[in-house]
Amino acid sequence: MARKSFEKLNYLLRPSKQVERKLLIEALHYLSQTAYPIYGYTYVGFGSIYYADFLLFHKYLYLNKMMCVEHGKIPNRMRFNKPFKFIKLKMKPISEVIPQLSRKTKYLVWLDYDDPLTAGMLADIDGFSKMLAPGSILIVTVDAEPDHLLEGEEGEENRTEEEAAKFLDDTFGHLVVEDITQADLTKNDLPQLLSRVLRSQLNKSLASRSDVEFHQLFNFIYADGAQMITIGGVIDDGAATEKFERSGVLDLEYISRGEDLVRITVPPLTIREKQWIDSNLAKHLSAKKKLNIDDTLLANYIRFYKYYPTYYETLL
Amino acid sequence: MPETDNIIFTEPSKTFFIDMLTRDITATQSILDLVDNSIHSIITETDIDVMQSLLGKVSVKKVDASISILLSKGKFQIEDNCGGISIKDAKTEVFRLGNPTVDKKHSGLGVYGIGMKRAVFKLGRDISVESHTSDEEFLVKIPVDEWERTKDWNLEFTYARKRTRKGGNGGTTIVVKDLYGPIGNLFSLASFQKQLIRKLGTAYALFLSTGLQVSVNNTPVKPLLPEFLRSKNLQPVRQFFKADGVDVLVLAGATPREDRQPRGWYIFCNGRMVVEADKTTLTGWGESLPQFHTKFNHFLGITYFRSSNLLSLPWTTTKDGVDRESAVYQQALARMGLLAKPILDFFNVMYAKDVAVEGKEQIDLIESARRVSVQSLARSTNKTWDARPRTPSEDRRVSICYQRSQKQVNRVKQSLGRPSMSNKAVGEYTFDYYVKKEG
Repeated sequence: MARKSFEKLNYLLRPSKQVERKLLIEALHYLSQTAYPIYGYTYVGFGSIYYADFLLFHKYLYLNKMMCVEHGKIPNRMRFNKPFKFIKLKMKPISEVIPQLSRKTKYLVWLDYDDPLTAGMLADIDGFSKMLAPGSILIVTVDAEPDHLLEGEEGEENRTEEEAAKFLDDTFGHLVVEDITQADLTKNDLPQLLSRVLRSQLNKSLASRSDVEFHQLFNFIYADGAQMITIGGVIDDGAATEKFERSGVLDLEYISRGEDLVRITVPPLTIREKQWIDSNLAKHLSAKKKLNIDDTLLANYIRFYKYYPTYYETLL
Repeated sequence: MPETDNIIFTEPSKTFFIDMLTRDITATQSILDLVDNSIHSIITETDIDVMQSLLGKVSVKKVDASISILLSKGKFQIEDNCGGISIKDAKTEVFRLGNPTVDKKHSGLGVYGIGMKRAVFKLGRDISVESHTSDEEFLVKIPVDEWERTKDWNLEFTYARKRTRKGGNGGTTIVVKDLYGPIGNLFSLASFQKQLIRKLGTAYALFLSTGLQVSVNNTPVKPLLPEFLRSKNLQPVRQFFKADGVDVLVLAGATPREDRQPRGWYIFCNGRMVVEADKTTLTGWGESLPQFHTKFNHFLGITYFRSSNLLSLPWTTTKDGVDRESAVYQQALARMGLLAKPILDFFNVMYAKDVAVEGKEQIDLIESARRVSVQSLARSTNKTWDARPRTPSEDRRVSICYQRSQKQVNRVKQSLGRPSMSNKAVGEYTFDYYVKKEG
């Protein structure tokens, strides 16, 4: 792996990521109200030493069956930082864990990869798709920063754009109808491409199962530094759509059932500005005059204002 | 006892035809069968012969025709403007189940006469075939459920008449709805569509190079022909010969480094691929040739069979594979083995155990060669494999690799006063020591 982001950046302080976690929690609460008893699911994720997802999902989704998978060579740090005793820690690559999981248990799986998409990740997705019980939820996050594709593996030299495009076409070309070219390597197009590749892999892997399909709910793009995309949904039979409708989850405005990416941005606003906007929320609120904030920034804020983290320093 | 009790019923059942024969092909093969029919119309209409063009015997004739394939969960459609089917042919030949063509003039693709029927029955249960030539048109509907229930094997035209507006290219449109579940699911996958596009691009590469346009869900199919390496000191194989009256062209050699696909043997009949990237005993690996191995990934062999007597070609009814017992194929296979052996020996040397040093001259030869197209190689004269790597100079470096006990190695390090010396350095030092002492 090229870089460990927890070494470079305090995990807990990634604001867009934090918004994403909260959106997922809210959506999963909605699903829990009808046909998907999420509170009883087992969570499988990559903790890193901060275990951020585990903390949040235990406290706000009430999950208490959890498994953390970590393939880095840091067993002591992982064990030391494990926040709850019930978290099972597996210090192995996820590909070795998948065959050991139960085919009857409903899992909430979040493959939150730090790095650009690789064939190995697709193999993990394929592995999960083949064994997850109906009702399980699978979420995948990958790096979608074009510049990172130009970095060679450790010890190798950097790639040119042409080489990067060829690498993508050789590795993922079989999953998308058009050939992958240099034109796909832009900040706007790469996330779309990766989202299509992931979706295509999920559909392909589940095609061999007659009982279930992939019912997408999440298709996010965000950038705390490097651009990332997340695709996620429920693995279930055809009745899923009707269950979604009954639960009200489809009314949430950040749900995406198709190719549209939902962009999560956290506009830079001070606490005072946020509080003013919150207390003046109205249909055509414009803060241009009062605060010099342009309307796009404002619209972005209003979209996700409920979910923004607020950071304070405390004396410990 | 009445006489009728002596009779045994042996009539084939429709259910047998629909359910059993369709098991022998895949959805992809069905689609290729339908494309074969369209291309066969072009061949009979325009007299093109892609093999003769490949050999340089006739100039490449340009074709202005298109085949459009639409796939989705609920519907399959193939539409072409390749000439259309006359009412007479529809009445007496095209819909008959098993009607080997008697056409001996063209090196065509419509050989067993079951292609279209088996293909559409494979896909679904609501079939319609519409076709028009320059002055006629007809429509035939096959609602499979109803047809299966009746006793007789006949079909009916919904209409069959002279066209009011005459002229233009003839064409045919086949639509299948009520697709079988797994087939519909397969068609909706982006990965299947891509796989089909690549298969069409490889199977029909020679036809696509004539100007024929094929598209899948409006994405054009590009011809995919691999390339060989050639230089002054590296000559790929080109051999043309006849086997029992069938023309055979064998091309073989090495593919460029950038070609990441593991190759092997490809076999074409009348320009249409029937075997793709084969690494099995079908094309001699493990029998007349060594077992296929990753070091042979850059071996590419293409065998083209051509004949206007379609039944003498070694294809199978699914056109996916070859009839191993065919005398023509056996003869060609023997030659293919002989021609390929020297190429495999070259790769064996190139990827010998000590790659860093041995095989270097072979690698240099490969890296300095240029890419050459199949067409260009096919037009040259007969040649066998000829690779002339530089002779390694005596002074080149070779590597020595051996194991000794850790205790002994440590004692040597101690005795040299360099306990942190690397094992590699120990080997080099002791070798140099001997050479100096013993001269």
